Amino acid sequence: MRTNSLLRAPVIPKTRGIKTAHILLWIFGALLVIIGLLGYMAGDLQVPFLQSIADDVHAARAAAQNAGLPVSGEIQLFADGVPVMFWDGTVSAWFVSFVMNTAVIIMLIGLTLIFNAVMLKKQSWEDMKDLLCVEPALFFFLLFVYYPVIDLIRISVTDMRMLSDTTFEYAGFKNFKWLFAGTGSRYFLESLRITATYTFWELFITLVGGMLLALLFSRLNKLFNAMRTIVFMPKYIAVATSAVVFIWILNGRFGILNNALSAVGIQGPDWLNNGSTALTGILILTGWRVVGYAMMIYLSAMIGIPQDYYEAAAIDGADSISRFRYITLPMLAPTTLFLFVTTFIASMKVFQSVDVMTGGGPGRATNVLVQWVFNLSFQDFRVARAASVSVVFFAILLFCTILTMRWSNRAVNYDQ
Amino acid sequence: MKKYLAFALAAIMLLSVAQVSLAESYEVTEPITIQWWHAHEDRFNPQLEYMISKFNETNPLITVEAVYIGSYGEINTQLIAAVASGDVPALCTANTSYPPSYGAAGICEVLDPYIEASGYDIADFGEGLIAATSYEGQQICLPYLISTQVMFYNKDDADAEGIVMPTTFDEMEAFLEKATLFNEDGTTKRYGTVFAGWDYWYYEMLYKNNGVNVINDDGLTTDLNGEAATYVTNKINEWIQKGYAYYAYGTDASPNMRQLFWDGGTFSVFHTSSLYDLYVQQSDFEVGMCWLPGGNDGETFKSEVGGSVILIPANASQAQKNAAWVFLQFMTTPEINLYWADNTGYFPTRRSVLASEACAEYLERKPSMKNVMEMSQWINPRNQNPAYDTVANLWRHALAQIFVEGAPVQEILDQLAMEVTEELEDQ
Repeated sequence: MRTNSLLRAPVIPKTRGIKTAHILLWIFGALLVIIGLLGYMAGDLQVPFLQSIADDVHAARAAAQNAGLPVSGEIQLFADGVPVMFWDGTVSAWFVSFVMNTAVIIMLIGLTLIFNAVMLKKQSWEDMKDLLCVEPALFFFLLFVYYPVIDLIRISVTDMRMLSDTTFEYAGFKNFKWLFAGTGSRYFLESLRITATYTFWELFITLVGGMLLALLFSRLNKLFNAMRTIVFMPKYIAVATSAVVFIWILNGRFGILNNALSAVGIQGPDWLNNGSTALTGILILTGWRVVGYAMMIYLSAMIGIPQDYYEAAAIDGADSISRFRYITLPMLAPTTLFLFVTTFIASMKVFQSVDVMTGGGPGRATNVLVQWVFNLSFQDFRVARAASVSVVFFAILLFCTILTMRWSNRAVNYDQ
Repeated sequence: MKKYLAFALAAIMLLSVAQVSLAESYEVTEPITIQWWHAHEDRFNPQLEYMISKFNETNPLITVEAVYIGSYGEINTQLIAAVASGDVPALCTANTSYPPSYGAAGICEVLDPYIEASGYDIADFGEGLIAATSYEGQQICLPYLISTQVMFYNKDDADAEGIVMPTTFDEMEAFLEKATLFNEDGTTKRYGTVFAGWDYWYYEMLYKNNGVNVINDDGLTTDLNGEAATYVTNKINEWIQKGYAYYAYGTDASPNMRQLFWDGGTFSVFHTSSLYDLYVQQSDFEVGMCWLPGGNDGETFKSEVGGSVILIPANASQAQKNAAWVFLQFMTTPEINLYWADNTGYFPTRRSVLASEACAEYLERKPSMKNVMEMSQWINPRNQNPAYDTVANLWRHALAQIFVEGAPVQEILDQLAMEVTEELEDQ
C-alpha cells in the first residue's frame, strides 16, 4: 500500500547540537543509573551494616543514660568519619525506604535519558517531540506499576518480615520452596481451589445472569428503565458497605434471609460461619453486585445488533430460540469476551468482600489467594512469603490472560 | 568495604540535616497536638471525653486527638503500616498479645528513661502487669485497660435450677448436662455454654490449665497434638456435637454470642470481664460472673491478661514523645484508672487503687467483680514468644476446622503440630 509522502514527518538532518545532546544524554543517563544503582544497593544490601551502626548508637544511649543524662532528639552518628542520620539510634524503615526509593527514581531518570539518547539517533526531531510529550506518563507508569512488580520479586527472595523489615537477608528460593514443597503447598492449593471456585461462579453469574437479565429488560419503556436502574445500582455501592449489610442479612440466627426461609418451612444454614456455605454467602453478595453491570453491558451490545438480521431470520421461519442461538449469541461474542476477561481478572483478585464478611474463614473455607496474601503480611507478618505467593499468583493470572486472548482471537468473531 | 559503602550512603544523604540534642527533661514547653489511636467504640465516647477534658484542665499545651481505628487487629495493621511509612501517632493502644513482637521489632519507645526522669511509680502496677508490658527487661508500654477471661451466666436461672458453675474442666460435663435444655424434637433450646472461638485468648486457658504448652520450653516444638490437648479438644467437640455447647466463630460471632445470652439461648458464655457492664445493662436477669474452669488437678486456675496496653512508637518525633508521655502518665493515674474500671468492666490496675475507699465502694456495688478480682493473683502475662500470635492463629484455624466443619481431631492436630514446628524453626 502506498502512503502519501507529504504525510510523513520531515527528516531533519542531524545537526551538531543534536549530536552533542545525544552524547550528553548518554553520559548523564549512565551516571544517574550508576548513582541510582549504588544508592539502591546501599539501602538494600547493607542493612546488616546499618544495623550494626544502630547497635552502636543504642550502646551509646545506654551509656549516656547510665551516666544520668536523659538522651533524646535526633542523633548524628559518625561512622568511619562519615555522617549518617538516624532517629533515636534506630535504623528506621523510613530511612531505608527513602534511600531505595530515591535511588529508583534516579535510576529511572537515568534510563529515560539513555532511552532518549537512543531515540534521538533513530528518529526525526518532530517524532522526538511527540515522544517527549508521552514520556512523563510513561515515567509514572514505570515507577508506580512496573517497579512495584519488580520489587515484589526482590522481596520474595528475602526473609523480610513486616515487623523487622530493616533486618532482612536474601534467602534464595526458600519462600518458593515453602510454597511448593513445604507446609505452604497445602494452603496454596487450597486457596487456588477456592479462588477458582469463586471465579467460576462469579463468571457464571455475570455471563449467564447478565445475559438473561438483558434479554428480560431489553424492552425500552419507562417501567423497564426504572427496573434496570434498580438492578444496576448495587454496582455503585462500596463493597465494604454492602458486605457489612450482607453479614447481617446472612446471619444464621438473626438474618432476614433465614427468617424468610423459615417462613416457608426451610431451616437456613449459618451461612458465613459454616465451611460448606460461607463461599456461597459471599457469592450471594457478588451476584447482587455484578449482575446488573453485566446486564447493562449486554443491553448496550444488543441494541447495536442490526434488526435486519432478525427480520431476515423471521422471514426464513426461525423461531425465537433459533434467533437467539444463531444471531444474538454470536453477535454478543466480543461483549462476552470482554466481560469474561475483565470479570475473570477481577474475581481472581477478590478480597474486600471476603475480608469483611469472613476474613478467609471459617477455618480456611474462604481463604482466597489475595486474602491469604493479606493474612500472611498483616497477621503473620511474613512479607516475603506473601510476596512469593503474589509472584506466583501474578504468573498464573498472566498465563490465564494470555491463554484467553489467544483463544479469543480464534473463537470470537468481531465482524457484524 | 564498610568505608566505601558508608561514603555511598553519605552521597545520597548529603542533604540530610542531623543534630545532637541532649534533652534535660521530657517536659513539654510549647503547644503541641498529638494523635492517640485507640479501639474504643462509640459507646465509650463519654469516658473518652471525660478523660481528655480532665487532662486539658491541667495540660493546656497538649491537644489530644483521639482517633478510633477499629478492633485491636485493625490497629495492629494500621500501626505496622504507619511504622513502615514513618508517619506514626504519638500514642497507640494495642492488645496485650502484641508487646512481645513489637518489642522484638523495636517498634515501641523504651519507657525506662522517661519513668526514671519523671519519677513515675511503675511498681504500683505489680510484677505481673509490669512483666506483661515489658520485653527483655525493658518497659516498652504501660498497662492501660486490663481484663481477664471469665464466664458470664444467668444467675436467676442458676439459683432457680440449682446449677453450680464448674471450677475444673472435668466438672464441665455435669454442668453442661444440667444447664442445657432441649426441645421436643431434640434440637437445643438453651445451650449450656458458648465457647468464644473467634479469638484464641478465650479458650487457651482451658488447655493450658490442663498442662498443654502451645509452645514448649525449647521454643521449637508444641504439644498441641499431645495427649492432654487431644483430650480437651475431643471433650469440647463432643459437647458441641451433643448440642450442649455452641462454638461462636466468624466475623459476627461476638454480637451473636451476646445476643444469644440475652435472649436466653444460652445459659452461659466465655467472654472478657471488660464487658461486664454491657452484659448487665442488656440483660433482664441478674448476671453472674465467675472465673474460668481450672485444671483437673483442682489447683491450677491460671488466666492470661487481656485488654490493652498503651505505647509510644519509637519513630515518633521527640516532641511528640514528650507530650505522649505526659498524657500517658495521666491516663494511668489511679483516679482515671478507677474511673474506667467503674464505667466498663476492666480491672483497676494500680495497687494503690485497690486499697482506696473509692475502690471498696466500687466493689460493694459490683460484687461479681469482687469475686473475680479475688482470683487476680492467677492472672499471668501473655506468652512472650514473638511467634506466639502466629502460632496461636494457626491453632485457632485448626480448631475451627474441627468444631465448625467437623474435621477429624487427631489428623488436624497432627497437621497443626507440623506447621507450628515449621513456623518456630523458621523464626
